[in-house]
Amino acid sequence: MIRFIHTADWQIGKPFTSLGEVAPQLRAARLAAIDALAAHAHTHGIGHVLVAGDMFDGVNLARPTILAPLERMRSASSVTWWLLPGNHDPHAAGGLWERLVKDGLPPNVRACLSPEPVEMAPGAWLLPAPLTGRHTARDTTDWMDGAVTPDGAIRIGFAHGSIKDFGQSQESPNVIDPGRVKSAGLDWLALGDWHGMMMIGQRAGYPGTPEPDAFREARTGTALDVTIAGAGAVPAVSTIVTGTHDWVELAVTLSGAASVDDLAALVARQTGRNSVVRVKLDGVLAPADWSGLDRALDLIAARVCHLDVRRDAIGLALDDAALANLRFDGLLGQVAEGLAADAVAGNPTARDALIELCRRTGAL
Amino acid sequence: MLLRSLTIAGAGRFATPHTLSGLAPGLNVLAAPNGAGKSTFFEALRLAMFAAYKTSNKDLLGRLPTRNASLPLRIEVDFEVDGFAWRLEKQFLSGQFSRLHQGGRLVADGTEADARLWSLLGADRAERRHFDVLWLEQGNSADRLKLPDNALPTFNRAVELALGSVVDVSHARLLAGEIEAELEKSVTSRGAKKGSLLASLSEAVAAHEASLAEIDRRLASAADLRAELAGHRATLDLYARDGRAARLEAAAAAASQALSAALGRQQERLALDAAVAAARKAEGRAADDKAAASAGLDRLLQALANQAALDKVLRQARDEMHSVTASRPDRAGLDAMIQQQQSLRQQLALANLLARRSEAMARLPDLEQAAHQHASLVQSLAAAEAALAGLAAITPDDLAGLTAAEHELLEARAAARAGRARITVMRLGAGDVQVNGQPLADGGLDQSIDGAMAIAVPGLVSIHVEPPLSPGDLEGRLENAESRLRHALQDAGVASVADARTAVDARRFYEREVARLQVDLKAQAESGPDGKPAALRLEKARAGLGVFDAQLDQLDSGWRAVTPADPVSLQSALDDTQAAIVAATGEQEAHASRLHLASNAVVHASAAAEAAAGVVTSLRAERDEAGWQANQASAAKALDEAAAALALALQAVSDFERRHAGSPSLTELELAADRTAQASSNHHADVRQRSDACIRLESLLAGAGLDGLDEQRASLVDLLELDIRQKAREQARIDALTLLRDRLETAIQSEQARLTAPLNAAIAPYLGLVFPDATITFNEDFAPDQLVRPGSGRTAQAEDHTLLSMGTREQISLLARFALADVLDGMGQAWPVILDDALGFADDERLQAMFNALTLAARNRQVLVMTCHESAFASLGGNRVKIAPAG
Repeated sequence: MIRFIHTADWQIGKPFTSLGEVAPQLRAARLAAIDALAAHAHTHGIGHVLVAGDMFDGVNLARPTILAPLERMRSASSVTWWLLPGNHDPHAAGGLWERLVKDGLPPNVRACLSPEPVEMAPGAWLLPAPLTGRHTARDTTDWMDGAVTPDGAIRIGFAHGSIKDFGQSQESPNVIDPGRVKSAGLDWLALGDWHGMMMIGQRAGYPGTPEPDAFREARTGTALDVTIAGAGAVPAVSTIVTGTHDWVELAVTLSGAASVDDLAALVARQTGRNSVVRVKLDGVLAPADWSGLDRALDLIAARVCHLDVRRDAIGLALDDAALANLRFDGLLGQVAEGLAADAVAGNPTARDALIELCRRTGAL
Repeated sequence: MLLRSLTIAGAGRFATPHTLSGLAPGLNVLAAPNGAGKSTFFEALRLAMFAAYKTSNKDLLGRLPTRNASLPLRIEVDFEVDGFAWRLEKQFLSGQFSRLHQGGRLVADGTEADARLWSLLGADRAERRHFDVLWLEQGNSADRLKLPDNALPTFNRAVELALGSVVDVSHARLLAGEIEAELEKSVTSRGAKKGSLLASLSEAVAAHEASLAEIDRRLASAADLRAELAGHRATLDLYARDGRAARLEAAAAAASQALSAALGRQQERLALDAAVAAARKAEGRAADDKAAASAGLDRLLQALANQAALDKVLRQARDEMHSVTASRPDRAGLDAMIQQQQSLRQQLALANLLARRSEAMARLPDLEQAAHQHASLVQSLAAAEAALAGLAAITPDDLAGLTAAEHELLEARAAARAGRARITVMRLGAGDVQVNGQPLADGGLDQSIDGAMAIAVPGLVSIHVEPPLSPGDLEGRLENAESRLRHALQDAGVASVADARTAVDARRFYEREVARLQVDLKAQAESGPDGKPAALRLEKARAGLGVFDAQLDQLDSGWRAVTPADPVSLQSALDDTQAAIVAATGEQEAHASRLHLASNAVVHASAAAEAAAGVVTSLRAERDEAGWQANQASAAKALDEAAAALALALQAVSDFERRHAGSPSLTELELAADRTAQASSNHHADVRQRSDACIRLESLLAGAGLDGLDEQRASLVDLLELDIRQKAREQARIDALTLLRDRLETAIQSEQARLTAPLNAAIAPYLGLVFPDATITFNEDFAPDQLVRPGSGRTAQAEDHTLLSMGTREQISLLARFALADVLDGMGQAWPVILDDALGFADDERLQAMFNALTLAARNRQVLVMTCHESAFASLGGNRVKIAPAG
């Protein structure tokens, strides 16, 4: 029997610069996920952690960036960490992995840099398929079919790429045949690359990235706790939740003051203070509602970790009565009418010009 | 409103009350010279109508030259409004008051009077000066029209009455100005303004893109290095797996071994080849010996034959020698012809000398005559030169000096004979006349001028008279002239000036005679063949006859008795003798030549025969004929033996080749050995190079500074995206502001055009009189902005008001006031127009046009024109008014 944690796609070194002040917090959270995995292993007496590729976000990283996760792994000395190069951190000649091996990895860290069986524990053999480039045309797990291991050994495939069933064409890079589990007699195929947690049958799966890092990814912030009783036994798999931030993207259609009032509540229901939020707004608003929208967005920004608002698609609702309510006098009324007509017809510059006119004249 | 009269006192030149009266509806003209007080009345009317009676307004009071507080300023205005007569009385500076009368009854006093007045004028206190713009003061006629303070609302109301409604543009104009100012901080006509947010974002985007490109370049370079490294490592791995080095080394060893065996065989073969070569060499030597023996015998036999032939040639040469010696030609005939030739030459020389002597004798008489003429000329020349030397040495210059001295003496004598000048001074009327400082005698003065005189009429004239010369001076001059003539005659060595003239004439005659004789002598000399004098030529001819005689004596002492022979026939005989001698001499030389050749042939043949005998002797001394024949036999035997040895050696070679037929050639084995050794060496070198390349590439990668590049790149991509989005937002903001500004300005311009439409309509009739086909644009303050006149073709020419000429500006300024007055009429009151000395810049044509415009304007209102140009404004017409003392 063997029990291990299956994780992948840490992508240490991802800067998150576009998120401004929250970037250091997100970078720190990715390192903290290693501690969370180590704590889980310690708590449950698990001796091995398989990192199925993309531990790093690139191969040309600053030295402290490279050493930070290794030192955290070194601290978790009761666990053996098995590392596999992925498409973000491929094993290239003269590259990152070669340098790590040359400089010396922590004693409890093993880098799987060649496609050959490795006995990770008595009776359990790891069949790694390291990537040597960002894009590999062939299925790097091919060799597993003919890999020789002792009779009765537990065979664990260790690879990084996309399963063909995801819809990739045969020509897509880093594609893995989902039939590899059967053809190679694998008890478990530990995959990486897909940032959302996903099981591929009973004997293969993606653990998801341990700390979410993008919008539109489902079931992220997880790892898998895998137990294999023996060769041919169906693995027992459970999910470990490690993520501390959630990335939430909301699309909201506005239509009047009430919808603006509801916006803050809507976002509040789906986010927390560790949420990285993107709100994409469309619909139409009367000029008088724009100030309310600004206030609502200010409120949301104060409640979450980071807020990105896309409001270019909001149209202007302005009928004659609404225009009359703006109380323009003299010539400004004529100008406002012309801009309103263009804005309602879909001219965003006219919309902004009318809003600007309203703001400068105190009409809102 | 209709002004009737105006009375003022205490301003300008009007200490006492003066009145401008007789003002009527329509056009009124006050034509008066400068200083008549027109402007004082103009400003006084303004003060009365617009200033509060307690005013301290220095602007208003300052325009009037008052007597300060010594006299109060009092103004009385009679006017009509809506047909009712009013009288306004105001006093400023001291004892101020304001009184408004209607129909002779006081209706208001003090502040109430002012308020009532302004109410009558249709305005409150704030806007009371609204029609002041219609009153144009002196000196400002060409300035841009400017509404008085607070007058704009009144005109806006007038326009609103005309249009029905007026839209306020002030807020829009203010807002457009604010936006324009804000846009100027962000953009220029050429794009983003330096230092603006948009420019900063554009620069940031460009900088990010550049940094990104640089990082990508470095990453691509590193990727290339890694690919190259991977390639070398893969090749080295392949070498290690397929044992290429061992295979190549084994092949090289086998090839080397085969080559060694082949080299042994090559040594054996070389020995066989050497044996064949030795046999061939021995055979060659035997053949050479045999040939040498045959050649020696042949040379000896050839020498014997040669010796016999040469002996025969010697005998033939000696026979020829004897034959030539026997046929020698005769010499005596030739000697006789030479002797005859010498005799003929002597006779020819004698005949030639006699002929030349006869010619010299014939020329002698002519030479003697020429010598006689030459002697005569020489004698005449000597006589002329002697006469010239005997004349006094007076030159023409000397004669001129004598003549001048004589002339001066004659003049001095004439002056002495002429006497002295006289002067007559007569008094013609009353007055003080002085002569030499003394009063003129009653009878006047009539006397000769003996010395300097001063004649004067004090206060008017003074005359100074100097006599030409005094009597003493005349006598001195005569003596001096006589003395100078006397000294000149002495210096010239003549007794009189006439003698001097005779001497000068004689000198000129003899000088010409000497020159003529010298020319004749030179001409005679040049007529001879040698340019020498005739006497010399005669002497030379006589000497030549002596030479001929001496030569003839030398040839034949008896020549004088000889009859001269004919030189031509002698020369012919001499030529014949000469030809005979030449022929005889040629025959002698031909024989001598044949004899010489025959002698030479004997000598040569004798030498050749002797040499051939020597060769035979020499060859026999080496070996005789029998010896050579024995050598031939022994050499033939040695040749047979050498041929047999060669056949044996060739057989051995044939046996060797048969044994090793089919074996690789040494060249093939050498090439194989070289090739396999090179292949092994190449492989080792390739391994070394690839290993070195791996080390080099690893070193390059380690030193490429790649650490952190991926993080930098990812950050840059994020920042670039952020900046691009922010730039788009800023651009959208600027676009929105630009659109808002443009819409505001368009609306403002449109409304401005609507607002000034009544004014444009009002000015059109006046403009048509002065500037046909032109239009005027007005700004928001109703001031003329541009004059638009037809240009060339269909294009209109818009000229800014400030760029127009003074005259045009002045005329437009007046026309605009007429139009403003017409617009104001819409409010129910026709205000008078008053012009103080305007139209000062108009030319004659424009002035007449402006008179028409004034006449047109006066149809609807009262117009008062004040001018100092009475004649120029004579054609204006109108009601003429004057300023006169009151009462």
